[in-house]
Amino acid sequence: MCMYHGTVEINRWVNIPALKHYFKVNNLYVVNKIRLLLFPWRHKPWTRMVKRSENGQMEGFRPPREDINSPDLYIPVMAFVTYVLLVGLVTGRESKFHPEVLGLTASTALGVVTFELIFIRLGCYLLNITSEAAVLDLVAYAGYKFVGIVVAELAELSMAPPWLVWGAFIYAALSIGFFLVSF
Amino acid sequence: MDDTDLAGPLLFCLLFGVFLAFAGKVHFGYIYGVAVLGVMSLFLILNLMSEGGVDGYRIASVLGYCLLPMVVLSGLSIIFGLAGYIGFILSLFSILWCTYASSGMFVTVLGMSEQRFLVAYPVGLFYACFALMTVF
Repeated sequence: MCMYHGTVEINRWVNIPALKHYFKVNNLYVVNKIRLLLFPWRHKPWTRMVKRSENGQMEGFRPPREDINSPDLYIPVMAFVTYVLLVGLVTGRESKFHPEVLGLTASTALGVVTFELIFIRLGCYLLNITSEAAVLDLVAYAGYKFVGIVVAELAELSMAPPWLVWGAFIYAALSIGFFLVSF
Repeated sequence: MDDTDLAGPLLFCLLFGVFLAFAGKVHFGYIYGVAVLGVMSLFLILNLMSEGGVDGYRIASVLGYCLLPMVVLSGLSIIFGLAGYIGFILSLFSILWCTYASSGMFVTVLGMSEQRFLVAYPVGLFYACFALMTVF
């Protein structure tokens, strides 16, 4: 993005190449990842593949295209946007819709994710756990739970009987929890 | 595809707004807001996902030209109301048509491999907002 003269130099605040790494996804990865998020019980190897340089030094992790276990940011961002729009749809169906609802939901959800990140970092510091996880990795994992939330919202929208809706909600929570614990 | 012009897209947006106004919904501000927000967010996503970068103007041009089925839908909404099953099927069809065309163009222009559905999803959400404005 710094190829255009006269535009703002944003490489100072946001590490663009690192961010691009999290968006190197393809169709197959997204399909398999969502299947994994909603049904993680049978998945076996959870380790991430490592990218090595010529003399065997560890140079970083493989991008999401080549490694199903690598976290990406495409799914969390899309799940977050879908969640905000679905909340708008649900309130619209109950005739309580107002464009402010969208902004309110978006900022509340962003606040929850930020608080969760701070909480995890603070917990690691207080309990003296050395964590080499990058911040964007933590953001990705925090964002994955939106997939489960979207599934639960869709169940609520589809006018299924209440026990089914609550069942879907609890199932989504359990599977996301299992997924997060396993990484 | 090397020729990005915004005259066509602006005309389509204006036509869309006029048809909606004929149907009784004056939503020019919302159309402008959704268009600007959609172009900005697609600019971010496409630049992050593709190997080469892409211009904001080209995105606006492709999205605007592929809005044509949506304009047709809003024209139809003047003649008969779109609430009900027929309207739902018609708007779903228009969203899919718009998304199919614009995601095809984005994938060829940016040289992205096996990412067509990933591009199609945010573009589909963008056109779904316009369909929501037409139907409700």
